[in-house]
Amino acid sequence: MSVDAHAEYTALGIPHRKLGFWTFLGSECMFFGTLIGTYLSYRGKSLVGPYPHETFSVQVTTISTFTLLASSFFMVMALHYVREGKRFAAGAWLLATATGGLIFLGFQSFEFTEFYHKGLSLSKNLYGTTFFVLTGFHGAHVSGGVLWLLSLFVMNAQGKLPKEKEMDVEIAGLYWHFVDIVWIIIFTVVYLVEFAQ
Amino acid sequence: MATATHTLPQAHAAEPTGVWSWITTVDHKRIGILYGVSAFVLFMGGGIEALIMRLQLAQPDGTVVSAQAFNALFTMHGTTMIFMAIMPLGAAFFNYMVPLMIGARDVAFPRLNALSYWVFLFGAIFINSSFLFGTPPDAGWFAYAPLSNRTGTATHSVDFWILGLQILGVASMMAGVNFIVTILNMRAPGMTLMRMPVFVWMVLVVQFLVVLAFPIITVGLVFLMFDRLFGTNFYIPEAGGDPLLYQHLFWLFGHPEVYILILPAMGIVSEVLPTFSRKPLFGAEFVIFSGIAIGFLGFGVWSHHMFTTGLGPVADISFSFTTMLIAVPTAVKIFNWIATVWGGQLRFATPMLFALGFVFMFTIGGLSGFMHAVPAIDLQQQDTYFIVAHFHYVLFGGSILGLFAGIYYWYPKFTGRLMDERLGAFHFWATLIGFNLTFFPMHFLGADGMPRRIYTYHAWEGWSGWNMAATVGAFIIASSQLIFLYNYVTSRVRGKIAGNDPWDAATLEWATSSPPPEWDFDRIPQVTSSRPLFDMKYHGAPKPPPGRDDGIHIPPPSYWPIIVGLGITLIFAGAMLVPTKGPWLSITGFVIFVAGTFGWVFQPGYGYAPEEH
Amino acid sequence: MSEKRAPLFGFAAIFAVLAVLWIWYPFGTPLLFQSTIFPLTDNAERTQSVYAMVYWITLAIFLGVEGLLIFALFRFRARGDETALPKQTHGHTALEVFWTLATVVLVLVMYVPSFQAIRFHQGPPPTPNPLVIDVTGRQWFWEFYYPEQDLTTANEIVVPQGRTVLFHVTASDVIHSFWFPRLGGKRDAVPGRTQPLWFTPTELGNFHGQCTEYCGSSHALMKMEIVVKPQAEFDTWVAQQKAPGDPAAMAGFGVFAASGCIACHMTMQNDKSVLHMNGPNLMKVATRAKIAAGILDNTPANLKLWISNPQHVKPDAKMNVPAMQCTGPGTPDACCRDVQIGNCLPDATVDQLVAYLSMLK
Repeated sequence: MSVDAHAEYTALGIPHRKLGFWTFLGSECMFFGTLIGTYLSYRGKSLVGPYPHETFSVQVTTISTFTLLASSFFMVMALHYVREGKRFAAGAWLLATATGGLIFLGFQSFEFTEFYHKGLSLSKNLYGTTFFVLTGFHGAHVSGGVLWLLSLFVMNAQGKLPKEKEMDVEIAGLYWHFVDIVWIIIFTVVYLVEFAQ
Repeated sequence: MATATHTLPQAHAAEPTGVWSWITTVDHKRIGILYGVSAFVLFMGGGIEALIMRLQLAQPDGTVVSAQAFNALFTMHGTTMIFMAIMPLGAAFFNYMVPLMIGARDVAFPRLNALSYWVFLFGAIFINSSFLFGTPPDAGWFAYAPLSNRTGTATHSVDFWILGLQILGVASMMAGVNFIVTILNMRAPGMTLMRMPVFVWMVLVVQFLVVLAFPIITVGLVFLMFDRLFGTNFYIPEAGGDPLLYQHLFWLFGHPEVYILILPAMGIVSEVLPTFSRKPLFGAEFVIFSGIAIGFLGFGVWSHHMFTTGLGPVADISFSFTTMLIAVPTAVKIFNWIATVWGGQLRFATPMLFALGFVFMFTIGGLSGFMHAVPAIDLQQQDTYFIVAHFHYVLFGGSILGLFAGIYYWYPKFTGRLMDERLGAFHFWATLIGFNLTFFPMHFLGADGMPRRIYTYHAWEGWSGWNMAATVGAFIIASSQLIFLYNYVTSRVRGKIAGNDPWDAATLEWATSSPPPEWDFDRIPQVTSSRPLFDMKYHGAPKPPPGRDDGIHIPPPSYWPIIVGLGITLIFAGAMLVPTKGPWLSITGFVIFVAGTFGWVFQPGYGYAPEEH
Repeated sequence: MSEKRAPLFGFAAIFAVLAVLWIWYPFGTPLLFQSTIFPLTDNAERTQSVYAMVYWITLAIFLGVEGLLIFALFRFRARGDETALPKQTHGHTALEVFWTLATVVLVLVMYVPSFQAIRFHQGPPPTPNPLVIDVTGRQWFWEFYYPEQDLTTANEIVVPQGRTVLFHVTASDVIHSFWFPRLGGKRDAVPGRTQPLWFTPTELGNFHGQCTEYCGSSHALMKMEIVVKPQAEFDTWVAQQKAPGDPAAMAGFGVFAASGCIACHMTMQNDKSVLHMNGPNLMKVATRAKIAAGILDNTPANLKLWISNPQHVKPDAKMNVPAMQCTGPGTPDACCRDVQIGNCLPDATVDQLVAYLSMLK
């Protein structure tokens, strides 16, 4: 919520909340970097199976990845319409973004249960440990984002998201795109790399 | 200098009082005081833990406490001093002084600021509550796996430590974001980055370190927690996991952490020495760049904590080099401080004594640190009392003395009165003498082969003499703090009225009243140099016109920070109950957190003008 | 603000005391069991030479820098009669460059011996065919295995004079650290990893070591000893360790087994088949100078003390005979106060065990 109706004075010319959010994203880079680094350092070191290539279905994960990517596009559209003051279109695109996220989460749950039935668990081996914790935290971030987007949707429906509030949506967009980029990295480094050799 | 009046400025009288006003405050000055008082209480607690240990070790085959109790004491002493004393004492100054020093009225996110405090306080209460449950953490302040893992400890002791640190980490990270935005975005007109006080620069570097280093330990501790609660294999050798992964993650955070602990004190010293030398900080740009260099290089030295773990010659060669290199910016700062006092007119008020004590003691700590940077030497010194000596010289002789310099220096600003100089000098000398008596002999104990973290030793080792000396010194340090407390409390009532600028200083915080009004400055000044107040007094720079700026907005108080803070704490605290009692406490915390966040976001209206007098 | 001289003398006095102590230590400190500055091997000598260089250079820096600071405090103290501000020097770029470069040069100078020492210590052992000893740290004792002799022992190592020893250091539960201060730097014993340490002992005698990584309740009481003997005596020792025991001792074995000790300790074998048991190998325990990992002299009285109530000697020691051995509450044996603590063995049984163990040579 903005501190006051007057434009705030900023030495850098970037609004406080945007600057603060970028800083937060910097810490999130370190957070996910550590998780991904750990996955990589333990890759190939599991003493027992199941192993990644036995569990992954790259076709399925490609669909969910594409869905998440598309939802980032939807987010761009939502911001555009908020800036235009077009309430209905903005709401539609916000809902589409959230739906994309929910579909992604749906695929993740499906995948997790599939892997579990193949014998992979948190405690089974290093692969289970690192995979579930890395993708689990990412999924938690997506869930938080979906909650955020749905809140914005409701606010928009109540007429509380005029174009003056566009920065609120822009910041949500920053978060959403970040979460998407992290997934691209995870998808590449965890899934695709298993099929490269 | 000090005015002739005997009462505090009128502006202070209109501020709300009472417990509720403190609980709902979003004023950076009040939050600073909350941090300072809480941190000092915890500092005393950590000190008592140290005294009990020193009593146990004063003589061989001591029977003051059991082995288990001793092991919990050194764990909690270290954890308390680092996370619940030095860091929040620093935060007290960040909160109170940074907006004043940059000519701002508050921080960028006042409610987030309050939230940081409440999460810190609840985290400190949570981790100390482990004493009440009879299971204080006892795996050391860095809790290496596998000792800290499910194989090593059966009770909740380590859970309290892990979750407590996570809670405290959340508090620090939120403050990190807040201060980065504040410092970058809210400087007074004309205050370019290079015109910013050096203390503020050090705070900025520290906040970047916090924001970038804490996530690494967050993940490292998440891994440990999951190993303990959910049977994951991150640090389990039997499953192919590597205990050293924990050490890498811990020290990737841990080394920047020690710079988080020292840079604020270096910043304070960089303010105090010029004021009491009556000349500017020598080489201010170089001191600033050295601080930035230390911040960067600090991320490249972590495995010097692991020279004994067998990383191989390439790792040892590299980390030895980077560690020795970090001595360069550190030395540059020391030379610049000496050059600051050189040619000055030195006044030895208590803040100056402590700042000089910092330079004196920190140099020794830096030299012993340099010894550790050589792996051949470190293989003898690691895990002995030599290391204990080193880090106490930099953390107590450095950070604590620097923080005391800050307390004595800025006490007039936040209370409006001066502390007693004779009691201050007495506190200083007793602390300095007690400190050296306690910790200098520890270099010898380490070189004599005494390992650290041992609850007892035998008479035939030959360590008894120095141990007794160290115990005597510890009690001198402790007694001396009572003098400080007495001075602090009585000066609030009986101290001489300070006026705006009792020390004839150069920076903006001294350009407003002592204590400042709720809105900090009647007029935000236009800044044309790094010594704006000095220019106004001595170079004829224009003073701000009388009266008050229009449209001053004071963020209204809010109870959402303490509510959200409670939610966050319960989410983490509840995690340790998950295997036995399920997630009900964490879920309750989550609900409170989400509800509180919505309440926060939709809190009606922000901003009202201060009343006219 | 007063300009008393007393504060300055305080700084000068503390400076002088610390400088004197710093200089005194290498010359005046007594030789102690675990001193790090009285090296006895090639490994430790190398460390000592690097340390000596760094020690005296850092002392010189201390004297120079702190001396300059204290001089400045005296020279530039305000006298109270100043009318103008002192010269408002902001800095001096050439000076900054000079002292930065000087520090870099000093760092590089000190780095070279550090670099060389790393390669020395972590390079191959200086003599071929070292004596290999596998070290396994365990809460709270040390297990040693000699592959060449197929010999398992605990807490005390015997080595021949003049032959390089190459240790392979690991742990089985938590991280410990293997350290004989007079013989070489320490190496952490990390479960799942093994790392090497070598040194060539040239002096005869008994030397002490201690675990130096916090490893739980009795970390302080996890010591060990190394005995350096002439080659011939070492060979005799090996033969004695491998020789079958005194047949007269067999009578006591029954009590040993019946008391449950055999679940963790072996007394009849010390080859590789008995490695990594829960407790130290005891086959020739009577030949050892100390028991309970270097903290009690090996006497019948101490053996009795140790066996009757291990947790009293070493907090949370894992030597805990099941409660079924306890003759019940209200017995006169003090150790049965709490069936969770102590070996609940009748006094007479403990005496028999002590007698048995004392015959294991």
